[in-house]
Amino acid sequence: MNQHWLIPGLISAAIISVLAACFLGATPMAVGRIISALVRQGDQSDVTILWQIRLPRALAAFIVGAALGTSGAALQGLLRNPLAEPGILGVSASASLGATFVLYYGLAAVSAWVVPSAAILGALLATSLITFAAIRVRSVVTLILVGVGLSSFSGAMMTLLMNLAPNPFSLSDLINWMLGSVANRSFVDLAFVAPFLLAGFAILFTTKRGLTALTLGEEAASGIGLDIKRQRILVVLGAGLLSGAAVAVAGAIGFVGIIAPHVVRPFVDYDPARTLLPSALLAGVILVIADVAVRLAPTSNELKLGVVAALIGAPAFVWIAMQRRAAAA
Amino acid sequence: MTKLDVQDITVEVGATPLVKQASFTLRPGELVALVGPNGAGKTSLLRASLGLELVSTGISQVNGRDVTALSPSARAKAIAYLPQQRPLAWPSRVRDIALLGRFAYGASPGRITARDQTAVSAAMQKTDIGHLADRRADTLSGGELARVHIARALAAQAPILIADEPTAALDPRHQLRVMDVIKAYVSDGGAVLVVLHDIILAAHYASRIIWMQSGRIVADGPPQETLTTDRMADVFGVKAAVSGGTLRVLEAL
Repeated sequence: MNQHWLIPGLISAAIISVLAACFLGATPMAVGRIISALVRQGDQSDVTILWQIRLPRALAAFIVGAALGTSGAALQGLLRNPLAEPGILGVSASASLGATFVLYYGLAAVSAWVVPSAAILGALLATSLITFAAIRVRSVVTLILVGVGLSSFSGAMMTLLMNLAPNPFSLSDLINWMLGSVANRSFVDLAFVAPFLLAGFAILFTTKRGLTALTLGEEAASGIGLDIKRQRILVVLGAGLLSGAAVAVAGAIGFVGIIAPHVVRPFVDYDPARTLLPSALLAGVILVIADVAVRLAPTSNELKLGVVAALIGAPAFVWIAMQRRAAAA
Repeated sequence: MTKLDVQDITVEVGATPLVKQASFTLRPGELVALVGPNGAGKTSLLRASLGLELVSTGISQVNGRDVTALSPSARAKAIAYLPQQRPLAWPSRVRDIALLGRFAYGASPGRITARDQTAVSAAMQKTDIGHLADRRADTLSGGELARVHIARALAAQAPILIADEPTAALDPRHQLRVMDVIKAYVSDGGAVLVVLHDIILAAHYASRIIWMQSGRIVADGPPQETLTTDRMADVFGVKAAVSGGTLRVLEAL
């Protein structure tokens, strides 16, 4: 595939995958019925299924994927580490912790903004911690281990919180936050994270050139005129906003933020700046397709989206990690 | 004419001084070699001169302006910097790495002005890497990669170049080629401060040698004046034979 066709190709794939997600489901709908439902014509139940269930769900999957793909690509550029990703680094788990905390201690009832804000706060704390750790430890592997530790800690804290919570809780809630799902999401859910998402995308896209400069390492990047401190703060902020918002919508979904940039990179000459947009689109498409697979899988209980993402993503992560080892040796 | 003026700089990490009251001046047309044993404070002095290292005392000025008061891009336009560690995070293409030298001018792949293009082409030609333009960094030899980094630094077309061991880990021929590129830059009116471990190379190319020992500048002058048997013993702890600008290191003292 040619570089010039990458973005148009991915945009087409995004549109096709979202439309396909609208066709497929428990109630099969023909193209004609979908199109009339899209323009709010035809059978009322078709309109409801499309506008209340399938379209918001498909868009949620796409938006969550795009957010995770972009923050993965930006974190990889900042940390100069192809294994960096919100899930791996414990950012998603910390965001889940923030969200569950406010949910189970009744704070979420105050306002619909509380859950996304808490998830984003959790994500920001984690991205700041990771970036701080990255300044101190130069090793790629150590940083990943810090992330693994943070992830386990947040998971344990979440379980503890739920055990101690005054409100009754169900195990399925915990699983929803830890494994991630976009089932039953509405446009209202998306509206409450939209401002954070827009801010996150906008901030990360302003850091593009700085990410390219960081290809040379921090020392030379400062030498050619990059304000490293500002760059770090902006990437941490942007990636925190995006991963936090993604978790607020769908819980913690891992690995998509690592796969998409990895696939895209050779097509953009390994330029971190040009990785952002295609990573967003590809990660979105991957999650839409994975969510269709979740819905169509003949299982008695619906699979979690995060499970499917991990089933594909975890082996890919191992493969990428092994390749690095070979290159380093 | 762009001049770098470093006065009375002290760099401390905690209570440990790395650089003690160092002063020197770098003028256009000068190729100044900074030499000294490992841990003498050479890199800290370079970084402090660039405003990248926090100083306890002293000031580094470019044309009378404090470097720490300059914006990162204004500083980058005045001084090109080639650090000792040059880790490349991604296997980028050679032309894209060289183009990063134009970062301070707002250049990026897909947004290149005619001036950027001219500067990058000239830098790649001077370093003789034009034929490698489309190659990926991970396919290059050590010597080629060293020239790519120098091309990146030259592409900035800054009046001052500060290079930290640009010849490290290169074979003799590539060391000479790198030094020839730097010499040509000086002949064009540039000013260079370069850390070298090879005293013979320093004596051959430099117009001045700054000798550093335990954080202090202990001598600063033309090679024929400052390169002596005694100085080699004092600064490097080696017995050396110096005669008529040639040097033979005989044994460790």
